[in-house]
Amino acid sequence: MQVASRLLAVVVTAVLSFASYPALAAQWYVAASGNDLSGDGSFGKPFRTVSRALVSAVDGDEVRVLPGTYRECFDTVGRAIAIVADAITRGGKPSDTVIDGAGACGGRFCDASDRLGCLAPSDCVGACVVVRGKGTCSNDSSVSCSVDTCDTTAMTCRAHPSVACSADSDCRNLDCDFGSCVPIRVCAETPDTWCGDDSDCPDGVTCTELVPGPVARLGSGSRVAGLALRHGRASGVLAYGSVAIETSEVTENEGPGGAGGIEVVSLASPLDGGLCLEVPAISCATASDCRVCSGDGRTPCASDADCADVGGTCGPETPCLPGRRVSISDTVVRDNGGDGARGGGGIRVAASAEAGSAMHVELLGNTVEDNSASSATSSGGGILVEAEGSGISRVRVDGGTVARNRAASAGGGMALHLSTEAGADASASVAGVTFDRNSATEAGRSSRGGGLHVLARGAGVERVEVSRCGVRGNETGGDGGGISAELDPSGPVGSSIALADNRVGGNTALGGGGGMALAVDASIAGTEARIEASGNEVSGNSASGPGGGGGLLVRAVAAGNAAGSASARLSENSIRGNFAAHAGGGVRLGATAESSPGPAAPASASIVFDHNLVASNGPAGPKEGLDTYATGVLAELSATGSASASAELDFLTVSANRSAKGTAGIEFAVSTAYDESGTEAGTASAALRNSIVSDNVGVGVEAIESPGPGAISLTVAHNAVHGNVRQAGPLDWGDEIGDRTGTSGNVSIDPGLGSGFLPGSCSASLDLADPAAPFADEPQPNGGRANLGFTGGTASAASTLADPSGDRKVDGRDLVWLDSAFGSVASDPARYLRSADFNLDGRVDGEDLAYLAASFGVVCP
Amino acid sequence: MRRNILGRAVPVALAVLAAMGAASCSGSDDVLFPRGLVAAFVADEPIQDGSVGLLAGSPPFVTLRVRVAARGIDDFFGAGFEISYDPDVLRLVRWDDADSFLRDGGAEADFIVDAVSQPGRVIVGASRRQDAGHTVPGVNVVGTRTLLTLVFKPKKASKASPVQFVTSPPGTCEARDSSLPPPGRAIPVLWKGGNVSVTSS
Repeated sequence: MQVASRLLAVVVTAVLSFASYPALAAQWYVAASGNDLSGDGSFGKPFRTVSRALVSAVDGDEVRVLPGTYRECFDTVGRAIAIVADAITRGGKPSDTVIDGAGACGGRFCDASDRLGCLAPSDCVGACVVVRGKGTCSNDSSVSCSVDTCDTTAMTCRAHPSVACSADSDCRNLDCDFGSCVPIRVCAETPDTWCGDDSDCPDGVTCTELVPGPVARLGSGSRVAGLALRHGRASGVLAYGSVAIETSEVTENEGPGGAGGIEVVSLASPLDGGLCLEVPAISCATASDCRVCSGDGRTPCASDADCADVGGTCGPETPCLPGRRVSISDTVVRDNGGDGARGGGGIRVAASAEAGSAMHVELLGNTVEDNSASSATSSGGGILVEAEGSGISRVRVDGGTVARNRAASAGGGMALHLSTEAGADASASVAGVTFDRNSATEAGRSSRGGGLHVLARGAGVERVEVSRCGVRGNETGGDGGGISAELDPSGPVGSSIALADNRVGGNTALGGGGGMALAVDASIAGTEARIEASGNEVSGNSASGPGGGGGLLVRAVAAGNAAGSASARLSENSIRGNFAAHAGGGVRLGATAESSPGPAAPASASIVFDHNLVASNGPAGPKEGLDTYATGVLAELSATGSASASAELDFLTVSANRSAKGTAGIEFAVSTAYDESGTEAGTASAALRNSIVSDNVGVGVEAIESPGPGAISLTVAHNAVHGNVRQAGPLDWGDEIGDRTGTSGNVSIDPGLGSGFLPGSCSASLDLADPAAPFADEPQPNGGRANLGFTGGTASAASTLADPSGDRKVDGRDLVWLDSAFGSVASDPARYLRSADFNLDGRVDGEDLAYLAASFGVVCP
Repeated sequence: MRRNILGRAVPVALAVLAAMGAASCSGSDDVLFPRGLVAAFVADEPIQDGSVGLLAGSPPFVTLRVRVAARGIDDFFGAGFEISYDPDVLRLVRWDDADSFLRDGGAEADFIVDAVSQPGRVIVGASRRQDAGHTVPGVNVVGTRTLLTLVFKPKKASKASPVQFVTSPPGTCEARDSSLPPPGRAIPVLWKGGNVSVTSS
């Protein structure tokens, strides 16, 4: 009664203070030295607990927590309140302000202890560890113990005469036996009062089991900053709606049936307040509220004058849509465990947007380490983000580290799953994140994505981009040791996954795709799906299972009744030093298209693999020397019915790969089949163009065309195939493909590759590509024709030697040659010297002279 | 009109000169060019008509100037040549084309000198620059005229260190006339070198 009246007095005080300052949010102070009864929440008379401050706080208020340790759980559900550590605003760290849910947020404890938490009976029986004469319990170092012995005369322990014994071992750890592991029970209305039964509580008050809960249960609009949140029993943080978690530590929490560290469930609806679609940190009423300064892209403005401080001009209006925003930034999420069916050992964000609203999820600069998602079906050992609904979804994961997390099924480090409904517009980006030594192995071959798993399978338009990430040392029991990306849309058009400029190294797949496994499936009527990978460095990965593809495994599938179009394009990747125990040490590509009889449009599966370097890949594992083949690139095509499958390999450098047998460079395996009606057969086309296949240990290029009823097209043109050797002796072209040297522009020349497998200006592979291939991006002088190999036709291509005399050296003679024709134009053939017009602009002039000067002194061997 | 194409030797020369400028403070010049060394160039034989030869450009001194000179050659439009020397004895520090006969009549001329690509070898291009109307003739070299001057510094003492035109493979050194079509015709030329002696003063 006394407590209640005091509480009432405080509430009245608080309300009066709001009345005095109606326009200002109130600030409520909490200190370890405070008092929930006598305090008033002011700085001078702070409360003792956050929970008490929240009794007084209303929407928009801030609870300011002073340094200390607070054993409690708090709840802001239904209110928008900020809980901020005072220390973090003064340069401190989250561990200065600890909210510790041990014993306060439910769970179990050893009933003969002073609140020793436990999960299993064995946790309550520790060992007495004696060091330098001092003993402490292994399960509670705060408890002293001594090793007792058995008095075999009395048959009782000497220091514990009530305990019977027959040997010393019966008496060894008695001080560290804390009884049974039982659920925590508390007296009703006083949750910090533990009890065994009703007799431990005041008269009329019952002793009930404390329901496990999170340390922080956050309502929409709430914010947590600078706190260390530990020992939650239903996640560390359980949040709903729009929430922000900043610069905090969420550690050692558990989430039975859910996420371990942080679980956020958020549904955006048209009834929500407005957020700027492009800058969701800005609340808005109309699009005019969403103008921002171009200088920083986030400062609201109404005119250029508002941008004086940040620079730039005031940009145009952008959409304002009702929605919600989940933001977790600069937060450490460590040592948490969840066993929810979906997963998210460290963080799980389940986001959904109704039509007409937008859902924003931002995970920025977080450190997510040593978490686990242990359910057999769980994904995202560190992070699981799920986006659903029929509205707009925007997911952004930027920066930070995801390390040493474990998931049973998919995405040891992180899983990003999009499964939206028709009409949805979902996009997600993962950029600049380091995925390090995560694992997804427990589900065996069905697990995937040791570092990152991306799955887009909804009916809406879903676009995912993964860029600038470091993915290293991850492991999976299935496909995609580093990254597994699956695009399997159930909607019609426009969904895509792109992976760009990632560094993927040292990952392991016990299935296929040691570095990355990419799968695009358009097996539903009318779907078009595209997956792209460009600018990635994939090195030192291994695939030990039958899936193959030590560096990269790609599958494009369009199969089924009236299937759609599946395409994959892989450009400008470097795939080096990977290993596979089965097929495709570097890369394994597969395009499968099947169409059933009927009037629907035929299915198609296509892969474009261009401007890639595939080098120094090889066999590994127990099958080395037995089954490993196609250690550079293996391209497999299969087409059934009216469907078509194609693979275009263009501008590749495939070099220094090593095979124990068979092909070490490029192997095609092509087949066609009739559909069920036996009337239509598939079409398969493969092409290898403008490529260098050199110095591989094994056959250079081989094609296996399985006899079939359909049309097979194999184009091999404008390639340099040279110096490939298998144990039986030199063999550039496999038996099945025949020697193509001298036909269709194919040559057998030493490309003279230098460091990084780059051709120098003396390389014989310059200016030998298909004359119709684009060359304008090559730096001048480019000879008016693209080079062969992975840099051909690009800005990275080697320049053509400025050697008008044609003697393979650029010296003084060449200067005389050029100067003798200086000023001449192509329309005057008597004076024009084409070999001195390096840039082929029809004029011998100063630019040509500059090119010559730039390479003066070069002597080709 | 004077115009040089600055080839690879330029940064080298500048770097060397910069090091020399700093030598009074650091003493590093003593390492590059030990004090007390003087060099002299002696041609193999007197230059004759129809020749391009190396001639002494200065009396024995700490800086050795070697003239590349032509004598008695008609319609000399340009030349490309290479000169070998012992990089342990000499170092090319710059060249001078200000007095080149290639500029006779105010013609534009280009000079590219590379002393970096191959140690101990100077690769030279020196040519008048033709114009759109092909009105720039070659030079009728009467008497002995300077094509350009190479400036070396001695690095260590040597009694007779050869400085020679590189004549193998044939065509390494070549002069051409201004005839059409470009690049004109090769002019038969004798290429004459000499020796450098470096002594302590």
